[in-house]
Amino acid sequence: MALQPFLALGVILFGIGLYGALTKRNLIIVLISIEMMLNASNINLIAFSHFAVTPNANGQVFALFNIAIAAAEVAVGLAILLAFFRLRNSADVRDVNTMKW
Amino acid sequence: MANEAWLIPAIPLLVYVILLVAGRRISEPVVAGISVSAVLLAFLLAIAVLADVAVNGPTAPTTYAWLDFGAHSLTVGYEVTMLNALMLVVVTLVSALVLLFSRSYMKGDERFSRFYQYLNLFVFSMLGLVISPNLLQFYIFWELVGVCSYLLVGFWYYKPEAAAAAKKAFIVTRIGDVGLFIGIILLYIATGTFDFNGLYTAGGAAFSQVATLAYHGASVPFGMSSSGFITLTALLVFIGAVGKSAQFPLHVWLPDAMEGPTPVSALIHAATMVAAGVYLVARMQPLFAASPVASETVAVIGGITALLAASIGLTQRDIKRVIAYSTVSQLGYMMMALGVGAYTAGIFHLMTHAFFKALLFLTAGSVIHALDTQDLFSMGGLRKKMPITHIAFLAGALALAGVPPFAGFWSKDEILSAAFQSGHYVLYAMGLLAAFFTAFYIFRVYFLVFWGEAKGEKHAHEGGSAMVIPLLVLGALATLSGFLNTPFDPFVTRFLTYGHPLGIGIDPPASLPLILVSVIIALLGIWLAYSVYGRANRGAELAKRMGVLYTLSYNKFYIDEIYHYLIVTPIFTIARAIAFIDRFIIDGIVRMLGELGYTGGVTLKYANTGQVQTYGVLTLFGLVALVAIALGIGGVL
Amino acid sequence: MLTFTQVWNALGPEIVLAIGGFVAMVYEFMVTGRAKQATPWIAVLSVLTAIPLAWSKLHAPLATYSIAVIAVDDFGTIFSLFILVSVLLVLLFAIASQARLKLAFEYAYLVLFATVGAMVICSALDLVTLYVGLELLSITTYVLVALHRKNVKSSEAGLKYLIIGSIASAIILYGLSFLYGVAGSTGLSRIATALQGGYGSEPGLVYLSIALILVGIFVKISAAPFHLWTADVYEGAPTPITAYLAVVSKGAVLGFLFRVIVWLFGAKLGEWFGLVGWIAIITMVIGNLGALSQRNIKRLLAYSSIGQAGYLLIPFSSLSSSTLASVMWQNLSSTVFYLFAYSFMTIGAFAVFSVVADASGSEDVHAFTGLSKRSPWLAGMMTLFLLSLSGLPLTAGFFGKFSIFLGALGAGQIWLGVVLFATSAIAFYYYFGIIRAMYGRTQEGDTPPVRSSPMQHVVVALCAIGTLWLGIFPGPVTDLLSNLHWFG
Repeated sequence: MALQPFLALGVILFGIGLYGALTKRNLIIVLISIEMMLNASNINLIAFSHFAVTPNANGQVFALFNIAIAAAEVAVGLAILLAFFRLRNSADVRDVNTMKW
Repeated sequence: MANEAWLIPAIPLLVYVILLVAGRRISEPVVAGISVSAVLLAFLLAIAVLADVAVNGPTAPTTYAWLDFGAHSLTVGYEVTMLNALMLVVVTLVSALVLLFSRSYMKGDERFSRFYQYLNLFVFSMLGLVISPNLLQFYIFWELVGVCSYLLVGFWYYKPEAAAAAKKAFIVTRIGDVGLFIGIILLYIATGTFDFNGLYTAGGAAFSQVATLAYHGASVPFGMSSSGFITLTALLVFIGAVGKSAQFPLHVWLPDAMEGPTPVSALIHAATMVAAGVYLVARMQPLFAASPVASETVAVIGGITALLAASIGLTQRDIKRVIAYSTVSQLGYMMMALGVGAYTAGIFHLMTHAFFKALLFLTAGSVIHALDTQDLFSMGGLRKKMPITHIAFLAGALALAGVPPFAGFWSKDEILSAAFQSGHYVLYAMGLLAAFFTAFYIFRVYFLVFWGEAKGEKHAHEGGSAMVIPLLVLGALATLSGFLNTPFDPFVTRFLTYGHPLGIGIDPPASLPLILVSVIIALLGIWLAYSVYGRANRGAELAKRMGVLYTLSYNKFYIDEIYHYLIVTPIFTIARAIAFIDRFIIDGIVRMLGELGYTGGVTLKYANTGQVQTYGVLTLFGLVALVAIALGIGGVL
Repeated sequence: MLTFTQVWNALGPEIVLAIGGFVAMVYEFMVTGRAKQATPWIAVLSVLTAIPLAWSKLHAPLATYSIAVIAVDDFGTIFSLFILVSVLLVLLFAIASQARLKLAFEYAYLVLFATVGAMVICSALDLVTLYVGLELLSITTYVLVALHRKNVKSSEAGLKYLIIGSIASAIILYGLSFLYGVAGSTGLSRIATALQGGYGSEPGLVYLSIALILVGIFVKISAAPFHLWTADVYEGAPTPITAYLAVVSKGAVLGFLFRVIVWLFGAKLGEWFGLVGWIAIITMVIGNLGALSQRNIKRLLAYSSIGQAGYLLIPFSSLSSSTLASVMWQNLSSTVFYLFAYSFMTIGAFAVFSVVADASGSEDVHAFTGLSKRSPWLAGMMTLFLLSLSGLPLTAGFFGKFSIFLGALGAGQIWLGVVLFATSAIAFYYYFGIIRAMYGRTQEGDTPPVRSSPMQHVVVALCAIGTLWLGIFPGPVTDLLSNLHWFG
């Protein structure tokens, strides 16, 4: 196995995540897409950790931290989304628009 | 005495603080009394300082360390030179008289003490500016002067025009300030000092050695040649002066600033605000002297301003506007003088102008106070009703027109002859034409206001003694102060050039033909004004009274017709056109810049769609662009 | 093995804040009713304890602890001090407007936790720690922005901030992962060593990762063209939180930028600084032009803070001009000086705005109409803050801009300096709109009287003192800054 396929997977995952975050209308999908972007980095980190000149566990530790952070982020995201949903009765990203200009 | 010069600005500052704290609780006479006597005291101190330096020469700057950051250390302090000793006297004298005049002019205004508070702050700022020993301190006071003018021009903020004028004055002069500030910093980077002394005493020589003085190990910044660098900095400094001293094309704020109370106009026009720009160029004379290009620019801008503003003044209907344009025009003369190297003539004109312009404004204020109108064509016949005002205005008008022996004659003539003798023939011609216009427009005002028949029902009368005394003092000064620097005894020149072996600003000797030409031009202008406005308005009366004279008068009227079609009409047409261009094109360009910014702002505003995903997409574009640039920098792409 | 003393020396203030946060949290859970009002004071107390601790770290000998996860150097300490002072002001501001805004008391410990994150990213030396700190700051501020659960604007601002902020975090993380890949370590100093001779076999990855990190940072400090979220989020957030975002969050991320880029690349990255210079120019122009057309003062201040971010990027881009250490110290000093100035004047302006907006129930510029009559003191203070923001002499803003300007010219980046002053001239225009409203004609009809609590006056007065002090006697602060050993 080589490093490149993993990096390619990471790029693809990052791209899909970014695409989803910027185009999907459903706020929950948007949050999930952002999680995918974070996971792309985790794949990178773990791949680098394995294929480094002197393999070390730093990357894996980093990835573990990221998973925890991502969980916190999505929890906060869902909580705010819930508050928003109660007020606007919508989970459409296009409805997040009272403030503009 | 010169070592106590710091007291001079400190006194108005103290009064400002007193009024700030206790202003509302003190009655009007006390507020005015404190202010006037304090500034008078400052004036006496200034006289003492002047006498001191006249005998002992300029003092070394007294400085205190203010702060250090990194390798830079800044100082504050004060310094008395020949130039600023003279300025101190002029500023304190005119300010004291204006403060006295305001006593009756502003009587009963609900914010009377606030008005005096601002005036004191204004005077303090100007005095602080004058005795600053370094450019940074100078710049701070320079901004403070701008803030005060904003407060005072917009004093009657409930008038929308006043609020707009105040804002315009502040913002237009800010444009100049940006130039000045960059110039100051460039000088600092090149020489490592803000002190005038560091720049001044060595004269022109220091600037040719900018490269060797360079800071931070770099040679002249930005790889420029040292002469190019000097020109650049001098022009940047001059931009500041253009804004403050209302030179073309940043003069647009000054006529609008008329919306302020008349004493404020007198103060701004005569002693404080606009004089700051001329003072700056005079103070930086060695820098300008080191750059022929910059000097020429100063002279040409001055000449253009003098002529342009004078020609606009020909047609204005508002008495204060005419005088405002005359200020712009006279400032143009001063700049022209500094540009052609007639340093002392420029300063001398600044001084005489301060007296006669303050006089003209205060008499105009007196007239406005009496009639409650500023429209020239609803005035008339005040000669009898307001004799003191009449005489005072006449003295000011004669001084402005440059009729001997009034003050303006000596100073303006020095400038014109300096322009001629330094070979600036075009500028000389422009100045001469402007002088002709000047004589015409100011006597147009004179004849319209004081001659002819009274209009309107309001009973005009002289103001109280607080209004009359300043008029008398200024009238005397406008009449006599010219003798301080005649070709026969150039006292001011000797004074200003004390200790300058380099001979900066020694004016060429006067020549009789030139003097004769200017006098004739001035009289011609007055006569034209008389024949158009003075006599014609009384034409019927004359015709009735005298038979033989009537025929003569008829003939003269015939000449008038010729004049009217050959001279007056074309001149007025041109003047109107220039006024139009000034108001709609130059002012328009200044305004367009603002509009452009505003439009840009609105466009940007609509980029803010409220859709978070749009923001994300823009971020993505930025990301792609930045990654592309990054990889480009790295040579990967 | 680490001793507690070592940890305490390295992270004393952070520990105090974290403990304070937990105490406040538990206290807030336990008590009910009026007793809850003591919660923010616990936070204030812990900040007041942390400030002298951080102060005592100044000039301490350089030390790195725990396999170089945290650095104790003056750079981190001075940023921590800036953060602590600003947080203190924000907390007092929040306490003062708590009753009116009906803020949930959770803000007290959330602010403390966010602050721990903010301080960590200014002194961390490891990618993991840096990222955890950054996320601690970000996630907590998402919650803070959405603190008004019953308010559409607040929730909406929270969502927007969360979406854009998380994308930015993800981009930064993606960049960091490549950095790890190239260097094989998460320690900044090891990465720096690895990058010293060329960028290894994969220079493209290094450039890519820097670009990604910079974009993420630009989003977080709201540099153009990554600024669009700013106005919306600032408008929706409760005003004290807006002040927190504008000052603490922005300043801390700037510290992150300096820490990572300077530490990793030192003088080797001249080319990048030019790019940052362009971003600074775009940001200054867009921020100040954008503010021109705003009627809502909160949005106006948001755009103005975008412009300020542009000013703050100038010293960073000036670092490149020379490899002389003195140039770097000079530019770091002007950044920190400006941050302090920016903190006082921005929090002050938001504090006055909050009082005025409460009084009239409007966030529009009209809310300020005739303020000079209704409350001359507040009108005067607002004028001071606005003049300082626009950089008039004798205010903190002037000296801040002045030293940034000197740095830019000293670096030969005259255009940055010119744009700095030109955009400040534009800024005058919109700040004067507010000043004119305050001192201008009073509108017909009744304008509501301004009711303000003593606490609000305390905040405003503190900010005013700071603004004037830094403007008139900046000497002590500049002396302090010029004597710092930035990176040991």
